[in-house]
Amino acid sequence: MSKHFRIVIFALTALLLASCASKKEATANKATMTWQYEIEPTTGQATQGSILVKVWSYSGSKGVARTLAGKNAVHGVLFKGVAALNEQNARVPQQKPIVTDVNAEETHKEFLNEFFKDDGKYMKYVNFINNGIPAPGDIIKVGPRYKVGVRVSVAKDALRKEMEAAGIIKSLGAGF
Amino acid sequence: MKKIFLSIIFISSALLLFAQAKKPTIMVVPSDQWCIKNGYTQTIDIQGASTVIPDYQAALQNSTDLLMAISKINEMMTERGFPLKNLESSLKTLRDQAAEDAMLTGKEGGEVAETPIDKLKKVAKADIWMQLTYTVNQAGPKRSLSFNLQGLDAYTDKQIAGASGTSAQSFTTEVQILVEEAILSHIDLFNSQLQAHFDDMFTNGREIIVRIKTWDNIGYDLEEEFDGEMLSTIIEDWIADNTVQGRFNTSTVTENNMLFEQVRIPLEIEENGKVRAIDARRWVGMLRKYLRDNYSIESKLMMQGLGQAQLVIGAK
Repeated sequence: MSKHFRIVIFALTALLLASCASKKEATANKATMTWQYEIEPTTGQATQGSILVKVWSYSGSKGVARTLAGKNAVHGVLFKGVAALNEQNARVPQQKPIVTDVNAEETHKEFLNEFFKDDGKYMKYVNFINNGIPAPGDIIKVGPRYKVGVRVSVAKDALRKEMEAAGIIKSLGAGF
Repeated sequence: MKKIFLSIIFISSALLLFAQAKKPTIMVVPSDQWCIKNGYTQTIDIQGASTVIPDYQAALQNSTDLLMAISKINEMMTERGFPLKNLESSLKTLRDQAAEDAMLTGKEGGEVAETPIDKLKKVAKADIWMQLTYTVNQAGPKRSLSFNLQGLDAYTDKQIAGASGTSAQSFTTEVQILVEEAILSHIDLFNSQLQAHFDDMFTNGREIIVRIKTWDNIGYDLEEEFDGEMLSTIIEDWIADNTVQGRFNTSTVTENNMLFEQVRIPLEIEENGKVRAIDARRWVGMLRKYLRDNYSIESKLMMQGLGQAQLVIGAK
């Protein structure tokens, strides 16, 4: 009886922990879908056709915020663009958003939901610098949440081609 | 009967699908400032006044940096689905063509007909110029590169796209690397502006310039009245009726001259049941036909690329 009781307790605890984790993830995903993040330029080595950015994501858990960085970085390059960096030893010109149609997120909702789902196609265009581990000082406690900064490389040229193929944007020679 | 109807529908939709706007040609050239600064110029005499003009051939033959920069921009634009016209190849084609024309004689001993205007127009041409300027700045052992890329409409003289900036100072010694870095970092911004220009063209029509002139021996001018209307007013009304949303500016009107700027023409028209892509020449050709058919006025039509046309009233 006591053995059975222990198994039930163990199973319940495991279930509770799992539900807590998935709740955190669900909350984080919800936050992602409202796209609460900040994106800024950063310097370093990137392959041709890629852009290096630092994304600050928000979540109740440091780990989840870190994993959301990929989605946020791709979304930022697509819809927000990246400001210019003008420092003495590092200069990066402004990067305009790939998708300029302000209604595109609504018009292509179905495609974008599929694209940005967990382990969705967006993963193809993201490369985490330093394995996605934030630099010291890049995890900041903001009220009940964490603000976590992660450096990410986004393959912008390939991403643009994907958007062209999906009909979200036109190629430069389209219509001629 | 139903079959015939369906076939007509199919053919009409195919025609509509295949009618595409005329694609502008783009060519990268070094700016006049770059050519003068680097000594790639030639001086020519234009009616007694000596004028310094850029010598593109000398620049391409001597500057590896320039050749590399042009090649990199061409590569990036091809990758974006918009291959460019190459300056070096265009100059070579012009030379080959000139040599061929000089040697060409027909069986009857005739030579290729060429008017002074034909000779004048034998230069490298593009609808949009991508004008490139770069300067290497030296600060002690460190170098930086100031870079400027301008997209200029060859007909309206408007800057339709641009990207410029100065790179961070570094110990890099090779100019080629600095130039390549600058192109890679700026080309996206340039292309996004170029795309905006094309989008505007698809929405509001192609912007062109139209010039109307008169021959001096025809015995009348643009102030002559036809059916109670001045010829200049007849022309202006036709332009108002045939532009996209009536958009155009009448910049100059005299008895012998008219200049219309910011004239927005449709990219395609329907003619005899077929959809045709049109440019300035074809559009002004419609005006020529209108004047001939309605007022028995003959005129000579001359073109300059997709965006500029001239009609000389009075005779062909």
